[in-house]
Amino acid sequence: MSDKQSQPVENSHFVKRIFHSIQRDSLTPSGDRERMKMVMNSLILHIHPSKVSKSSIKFTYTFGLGGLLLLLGSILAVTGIMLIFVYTPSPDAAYKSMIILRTEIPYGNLIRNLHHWSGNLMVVVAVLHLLRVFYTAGFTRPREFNWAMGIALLLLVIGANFTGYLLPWDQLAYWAVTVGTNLLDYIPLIGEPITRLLLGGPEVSAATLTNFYGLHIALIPLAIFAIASFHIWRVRKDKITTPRQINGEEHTEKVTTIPHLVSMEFVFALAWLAILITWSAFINAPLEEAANPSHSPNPAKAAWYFMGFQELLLHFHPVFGAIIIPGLGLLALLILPYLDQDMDTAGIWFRSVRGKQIVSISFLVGMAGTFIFVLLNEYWLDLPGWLPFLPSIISNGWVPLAGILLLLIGYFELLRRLGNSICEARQALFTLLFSSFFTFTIIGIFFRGEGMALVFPWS
Amino acid sequence: MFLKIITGVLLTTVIGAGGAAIAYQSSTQETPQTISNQDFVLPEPANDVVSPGVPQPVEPVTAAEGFSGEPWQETGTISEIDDFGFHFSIQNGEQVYVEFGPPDYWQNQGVNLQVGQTVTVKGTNDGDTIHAAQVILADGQTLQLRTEAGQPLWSGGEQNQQGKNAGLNNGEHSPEPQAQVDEWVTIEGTVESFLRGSMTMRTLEGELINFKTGQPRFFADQNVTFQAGDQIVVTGFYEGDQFMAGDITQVATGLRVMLRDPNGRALWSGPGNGKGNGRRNGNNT
Repeated sequence: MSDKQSQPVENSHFVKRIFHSIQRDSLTPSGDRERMKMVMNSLILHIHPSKVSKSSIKFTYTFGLGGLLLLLGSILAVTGIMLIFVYTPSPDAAYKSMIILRTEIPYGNLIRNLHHWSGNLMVVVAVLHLLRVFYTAGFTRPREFNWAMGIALLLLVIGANFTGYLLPWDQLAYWAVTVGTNLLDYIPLIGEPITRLLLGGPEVSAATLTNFYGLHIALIPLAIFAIASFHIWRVRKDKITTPRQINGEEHTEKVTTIPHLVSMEFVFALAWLAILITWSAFINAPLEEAANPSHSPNPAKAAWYFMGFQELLLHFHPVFGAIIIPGLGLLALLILPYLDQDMDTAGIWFRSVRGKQIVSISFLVGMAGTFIFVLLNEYWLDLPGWLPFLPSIISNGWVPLAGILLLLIGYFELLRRLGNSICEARQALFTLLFSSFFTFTIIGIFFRGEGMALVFPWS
Repeated sequence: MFLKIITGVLLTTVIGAGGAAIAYQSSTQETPQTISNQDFVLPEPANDVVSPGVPQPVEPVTAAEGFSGEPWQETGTISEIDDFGFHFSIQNGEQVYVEFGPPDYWQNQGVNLQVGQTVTVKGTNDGDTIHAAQVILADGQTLQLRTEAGQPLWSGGEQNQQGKNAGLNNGEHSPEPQAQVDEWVTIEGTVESFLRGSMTMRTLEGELINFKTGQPRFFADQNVTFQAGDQIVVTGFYEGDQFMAGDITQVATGLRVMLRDPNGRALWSGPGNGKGNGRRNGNNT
C-alpha cells in the first residue's frame, strides 16, 4: 500500500530532475528575483553582455548588420548541411545534382536558392558592416585587433562564396572560377604553385571540384566559426562604441539585454528570414548549361565580387592590378585603426558634420574620377604604347600607380589645408578609394561586353 | 619627411615618364616615311590567308614605328658590352656604340656575345645612335633584334608590324632571311578554347588545331584578351605534327600577340632554351 502511494511522487521527482537539468529556472518566474536569475543564466548572455547602453541598440546606429551576418551564417550552415545529402562533388554528377535539386527533391530548389542568396547577401552585409564600423570609428582602441579579425572574416566569407561558386559545375561557375584563379597566377614566385595546389592541377578539373568542396564545407566554415567566436567574444568584452551626437554628451543609460536587445534581434531575424524565403521562393539561383571546358563564354567574367579586380587588370599590369594594388589596399585597411589618434569622435557618424560632407563629396569624386579614368584608358591613354622602351610592368604598372598615388596625396593635403582633421581627411581618402573600387565593380559587371570591351547598356 | 621622399619619388616617376613619352613620340613622329621596297610591304591584316606559292599583291605602306635613319652595316670587334648594347670598333678604327633595345629581350635570345668577338652588325643610323637589327657572329649565329623595317621584336601591340610580312608577301612563307623553320604558314579560323598556355582554333576548313601560347603571365603581358569565338589569324610553322604559333592576330581589334621570334624561338622561354636554338641557328645558317 505504501509502495503504491509513493510511486507517483518518485516519478514526479525524476521528471523534474530531468527538466531541471535542462532548464534550471522556472519558465514562469514569480518575482523580480527569479526573473533576474533566469536572465542571468540565459545562453544569450554568452554572446551579449547582461546590460547594454540604451543608445547603442538604436537600429539606425548598427542597422543590425552584425546580427544579420550571424543569421545568414546560420541559414547557410543549415541549408548547406541539407544540400550535402544531395550533392556529389564530381564533374559528372555535380551538375546532375543541381538538376535533381530543382526538379525532384521537395523544396530542393528553395533550399538551394536560400543557400545561394544568403551567401551572396553575406558578402554584401559583411562589407556594409565594415563600413558601419569604419564610419562610426568603431575600430578605435581597444578594438584595433578585432577590426583585423573582422577583415579576416570578410576574406573568409569571400573565400567561402568563391569555393561554393564552382560547385554547380555549370558554365558560369567553371569560367568564373577559371578567371578568378587566374588572378592568383600573377603573384610573383608563389602564384603558380598556389594556383596549382588550389586547382589540383594546371586547370579547373575534377580535382579542383574536390578541393573546393572540401574547403567550402569544412575548412573555411571551421575557420569562420573559430574567428567569428573570437570576434564576438571581443565585441562583448570591449563593448561596441556608444553612439553620440556631435558635441553631445555620451548617453550612459543602460538597459538589460533581455528583453530589450533580444526582442529587437528576434523581430529583426524573423523579418529577414521572411524576406529571404520570399525572395528565394520567386528568384532562382542562376544555373547555366553544364560546364564545357573547351568553350569559354564571351566575355568570361569572374564572380561579381571579383569584378573590380578583373576591371583593374584591364588598366594595369597584372602584377599591379591583381597583387600590388589590392595588397596595398588590404594593408592600409589592417593598419588603419593603429593610425587613429582621435578617440573623441568614436561613436559619431562620420566624425563630424564636416566629415559627413567630405565623405559624400569624396564618394562622388571617386565615382566620377574612376569613370573618367576608365574612359581615358579606353580611348586615349596608352602608356605601354607611349613608353614602348620600358617593360610593361613599369609603363603600365608603376607609372600609372605613381600618378594615382600623387593624386591621392594631393587630395589628402588639400583636405588638410581646408581645415579638416587628419582623421577626417583619412576617412575621405578611404571613401574615395572605396567608391573607386565600387565603381570598377559596377563597370565590370554592367559595362563590359564581348571581349571585355566597354559597352553602355543603354546604347 | 617620409611623405616628402615618397612624393619626390612619385613626382620623379610621373614627370620622367611624361617627358620620356613626349620625347619618344616626337622622335618617332619626325621619321615616318613611305617605303616602296617590296620587302617591307605589309599585307591586309585579317583576311590575307595565303595559299602556298601564291604571290600576294604588293602595296606601299607607311613605315611603322621603329624605322628610322640610314641603313648601316659594319664588321668589327666588340670592345665593351652593357645592358643596352655594345661598344664596337669598326674596321676603319672608329669606335661606335650600337644600341640593342631592352636587355630583357636580347639577353634571352641565347646568343652569347663576348668582348673581342668579331661580328657584323646590320641596322640603321639615325645620325645620333646606331640601332642594331641583326648581329651576325663569326660562327653564323644571328641575334635578331629588329626587322629590316626597323620594327623592334620585343614590342608587341597594334603598332608592331613585325611578322606581318612573314610568309605573306612572297608566297613562299619565308618570314625572315635567317628563319630556321621549314615553312611559315598562315591559318585563319576561330578560337575554340583558350586555357592556360594552350589555344585550340577551328580553321575555316573545320579542322581543329591546338598550339601552345606560353606561360599565362607572358601572354597576359601582351595585353590582348582572347575569347572563344574570336576570329583570329595565326602565323606559325609545323614541327612534326605539332603546329607552333609565331603570332596571333585578333581580327576584330587588329591586336597581335608575338609568341616566337623569326627563328621560331619561343619569346617566353628563358636563356636555357635559347642557347639550344642559338646553336641550331649556327649550324643551319
